[in-house]
Amino acid sequence: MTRTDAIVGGALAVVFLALAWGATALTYADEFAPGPAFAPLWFAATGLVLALSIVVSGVRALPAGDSQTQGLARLGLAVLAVGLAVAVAPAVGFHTAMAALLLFITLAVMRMSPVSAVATSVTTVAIVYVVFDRLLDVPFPHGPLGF
Amino acid sequence: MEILQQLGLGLSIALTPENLGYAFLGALIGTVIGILPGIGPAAGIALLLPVTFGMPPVSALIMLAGIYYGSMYGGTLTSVLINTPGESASVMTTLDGYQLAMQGRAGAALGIAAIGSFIAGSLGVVALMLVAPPLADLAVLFGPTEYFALAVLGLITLSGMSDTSVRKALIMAVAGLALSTVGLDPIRGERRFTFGILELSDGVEFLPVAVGLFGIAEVFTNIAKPMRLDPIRAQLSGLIPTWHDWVVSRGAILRGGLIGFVVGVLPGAGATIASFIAYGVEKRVSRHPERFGHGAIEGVAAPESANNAATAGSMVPLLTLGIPGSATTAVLLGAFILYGIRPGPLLLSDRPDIFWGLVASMYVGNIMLLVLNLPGAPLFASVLRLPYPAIAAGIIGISLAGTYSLQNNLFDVWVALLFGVLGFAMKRFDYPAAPLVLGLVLGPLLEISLRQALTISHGSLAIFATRPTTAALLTLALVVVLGPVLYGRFRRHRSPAKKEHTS
Repeated sequence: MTRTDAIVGGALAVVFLALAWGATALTYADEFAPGPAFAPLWFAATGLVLALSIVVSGVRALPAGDSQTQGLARLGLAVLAVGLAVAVAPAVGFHTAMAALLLFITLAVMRMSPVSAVATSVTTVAIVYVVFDRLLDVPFPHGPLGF
Repeated sequence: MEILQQLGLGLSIALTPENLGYAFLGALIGTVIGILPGIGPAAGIALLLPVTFGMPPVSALIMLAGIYYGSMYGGTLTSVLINTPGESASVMTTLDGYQLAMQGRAGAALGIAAIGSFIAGSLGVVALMLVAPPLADLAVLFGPTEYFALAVLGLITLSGMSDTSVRKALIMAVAGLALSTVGLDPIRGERRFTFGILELSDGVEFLPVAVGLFGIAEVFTNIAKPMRLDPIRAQLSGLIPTWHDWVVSRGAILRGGLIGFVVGVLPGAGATIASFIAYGVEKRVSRHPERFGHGAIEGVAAPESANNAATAGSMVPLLTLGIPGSATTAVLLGAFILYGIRPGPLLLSDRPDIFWGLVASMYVGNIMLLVLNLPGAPLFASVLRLPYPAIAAGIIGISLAGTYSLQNNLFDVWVALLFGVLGFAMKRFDYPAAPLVLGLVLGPLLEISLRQALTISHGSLAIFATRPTTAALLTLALVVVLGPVLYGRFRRHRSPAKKEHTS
């Protein structure tokens, strides 16, 4: 355990507290029959105990030596790109959004050569189009280009 | 006799041209998945599950099971050729497999792994066929308390066997259980934690969660690491082991197969643990333990036989009790549920076509894998030449399209992305994903069983102590979670005393 674990444990404790708080709006039990709040409350209580024990161990431990922040900017860029592609998919079409996303990730994030990046993106989208769109008839959102 | 009749039924299903094709496809895809770094069988099955939606359930399950045991074969190739296990169950194979490759005997290592996997995998299927029906007969007598105890045991064992902190694994299991409470209450139909979002009324679907945690998170983790873009080049020749290789490996194959099946049956243990134990046992029984780690061929045969037999073993609790013991079988359970089939004691009587068709396909699949892997190893090795960005693009493309196709909405894609980010954070802070997925899948069973049991007992917890099977299973769960802690304290307590005595 490290000090970082104490912070993560604290965040988990907050999540389980929120779950317990949300469960208080539900019925705990009718007579002897447990109600909808029964399981969430006990799960929250168990989770809270475990989270607090991680916090305690983390506070007692030494600080972590390596903050491991390398590559996070690249990851943030990739996550934003995926989020943006999903958001614009209904307007521009699923396959168009995905082609743009894959091109961006392979070219800008993973630094592939332009030719390889275009080939990879086009091949992947073509496979997805054939398998899901043509063979499985999945009704993807289509954009002005027709896919 | 009845078993042979049922096996005949299974073979009549598994040997149709359509199902033979799906078994072959599953074995082939599984082998490739096992080879590809950063994508294991759980991720592979989760990613390809949407592709099977149009198929008959038995064909889909035959293909998905093929991916599972095929990946065990594939993982060997990277372990031997580049000292990097394709998936966790092949970690032990690197120790002697790579040494053999360095000595120019990669082909022999891969050959004995394929033959050992075939023999142990086939014996595992025979054992599955013999063990499952009586266990299912016994499980018919199980009530809510037994199912609650089994779910608890499965979750605790998987967490207890985790290679990270047990507390971190347990908290992930509880998080999965908590996540399973989202949606309509399973008994009273009341909405819980839906925050007015219509799509959450049916609960959090397991597929986007599994795809996010196992597939997208893996890509994110590799993006955040310094990347190696150059493809790997590996040399391979001479795939047939010598007579001497066979003689020294046959005991290892049988022992590994037996260990693999038994460990596979235990909830939470699985193929990885089985391969570790098999390697350890083999080293212990060997007349030349000093050869292990320096290119002992039985050091390849034992773990490879064990991990294949474990896949058959892990089907026992899944098919007869409806309790998955690992991340991969949790995803398989999710697949069964998506096809409208509930694995459990009634599966054998209600859907013998599914049970026996699957068992028979595993025989056929093992033969296919042997035929594929002996001559096909050099071809599979060429998969290693794929640059990682191409693999990553494929994973992202299939993940997004697959999760969309689940219910034809983008909400599931957002859920997959969210769990992709969470999965990345979990990896970074050493929180395992498998207990969370298992908690999400087992949550409804655990909650319904617990509430039914307490309703029957009028709120008294004594019902869990007075039913012998329940009490035994819960005691076992307690031993799994507390045993290592108490043993550690006992050893620490003894060590100073021993030192004092010696001085």
